[in-house]
Formats: sequence, structure tokens, C-alpha cells
Amino acid sequence: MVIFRSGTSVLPPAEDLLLFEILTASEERRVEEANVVEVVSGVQEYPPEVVTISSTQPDQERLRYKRLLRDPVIRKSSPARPEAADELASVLTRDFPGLKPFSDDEVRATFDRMRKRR
Amino acid sequence: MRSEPHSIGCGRGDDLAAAATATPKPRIYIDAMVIVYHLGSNTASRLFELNARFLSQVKRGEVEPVVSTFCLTEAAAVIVELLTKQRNQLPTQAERERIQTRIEQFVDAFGLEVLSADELVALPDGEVDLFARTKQIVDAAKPVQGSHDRQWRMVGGADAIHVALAERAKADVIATFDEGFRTVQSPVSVEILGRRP
Repeated sequence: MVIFRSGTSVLPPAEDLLLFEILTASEERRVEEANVVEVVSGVQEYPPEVVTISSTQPDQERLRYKRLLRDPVIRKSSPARPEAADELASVLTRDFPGLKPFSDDEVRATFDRMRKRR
Repeated sequence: MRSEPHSIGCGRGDDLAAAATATPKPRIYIDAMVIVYHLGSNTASRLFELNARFLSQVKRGEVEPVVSTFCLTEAAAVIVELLTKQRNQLPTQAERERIQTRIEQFVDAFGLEVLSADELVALPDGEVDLFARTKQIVDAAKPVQGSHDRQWRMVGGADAIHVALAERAKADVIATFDEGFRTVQSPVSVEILGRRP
């Protein structure tokens, strides 16, 4: 980014004017603040270039946040009840008349599709 | 660290059984496929038998089974899709609730510990980096060839989320039928419960 500043530009006067007009108000303020420092220090330095944050260049400090910790256990039903477990074997085919038992292929295909591998 | 795939069904090792004799009990993160196969597949099928063999260890209390709410959501979604496709009609709300009830009964019958996926996204210090970890898992994964069709497979995005959740759940093993997990490198090892013939 090229910034116009009186007495420091290497560009011809006509181009200086054009560039000055396209500066945003915030950039103008930044230049003025930087110039105050320069006057005191006497160092001729340009202010740091403004970097636009984009999705491909995330600012890790800005993205980081913390979450209050809570117990993740929301249900704990051990020990197992073997009889109840056996009764649940293929229970959906009894719940839904006409439903054929799920085949390996259709289960895998559905998971693959759901997990976006196909 | 790298996970090593194991198999109960294919004679390539049975670390679950070996680990079950040691203390403490291995903590097993159960994949949604285990739930779907038990509730809906043919009890005479090979996959059901392999699944039942694993679940018998759960029933005997030889392992410490855990499942995430993300897994339960996946299981319900797969069952709804399969039901819809077979009948070519949308399930009613009552039928969806019936499926949900059956999944909850599965959880209770097998004594599973249900962990909130929403809570597992945070590290002990409160930092949230689940998807950064998911990216690491995907980046580190190495494609493998399927045992039955020699097709190359890679860990999927949802698989990687499961791995990250299993890590947060402090699981020792992920129990699954999905060979895509074989590609994963994680402190959590992967137990492939059965492959296609």
C-alpha cells in the first residue's frame, strides 16, 4: 500500500494528489498518529501495513475462546442387562412390519454417504 | 503415536479380549454401526454374529463402553434413512420416537456411558480446538486399501470428529466396522470388528 505524506513521497505531485484522495479516514488517522511519533524520534518510517484478515488467514488470537467445563457424562446405566440386550436383537424388524433386516451393504453405504465419503 | 488396527473377526489379533483380562478395563468408544447392526440386521447374518461377539464382552462387563451423543444421532439418522428407503415413505413422528426409544434401550441394556459431544469439545483448560484436532487427524491419516475390494480409503471428516471425541472421552479403543478408521493415527487404537467376506 502506498501512502501519501507531505515531504516524503517519491511520486510526482499529480499522483500524490490522486492517492491522497483514495485514502480512507482511518488510514489518514493512522498516518497522522505515526507522524507524531516520527517527529519526536526523527525516524522516517512508514506505519505498518494494514493486513486484511480473511478466512484463509485466520487470526488465531481472535478465534480462540474458552468454554466453561461441565461433566460430559449425561447418562450412565451400567451394569448391562443381558436379557434386555438380547431382546433388542433385530427389534426394528418387529417394530416396523414389512421392514427387511438391514444388509451389510446398505448399512455401510448409508454410513459412507452420511460421512461424505462418496 | 499411531493406532494399530485390530480385528476380532479376521484372526489378526484380539486385543480387546486380552485387554479385558487386565485392569483397569479398557474404555471402548462404540461406533454407531454397532448400534444399527444390533437393532436392525438379520440375527443369522455374519455381521450380526461378529457384532454380538463384541457386544457379549460389553454384556459381561469386561470393557467400559462409552458412546457420544454424536454417535447416537448418527445411528438414529441411518435407521431413519434405511427405513424410509425400504418403505418409500417418510416415517411418522411416532415412528421416529420409537427409533429413539430403541436406541436409548440399547444404551441402558448394554450399560453404556453416554457422553455429551458438546461437552467433549472443550479441553481441560477450557480451550476449544475440536476442529483443529480434526484437521490434524485428517492431515496425518494415510490412505489404506479395503480388505474386500482393494479400494483406497481415507478417514472422513465425521470419522475424524469421532476420533477426536474418543480422545476427549479418554477411550483406549474405538470399536467399529468401518475400515476408514484404519487410516487414523491417534493415541486411541482402532478395533475393526469385522470385514466383509
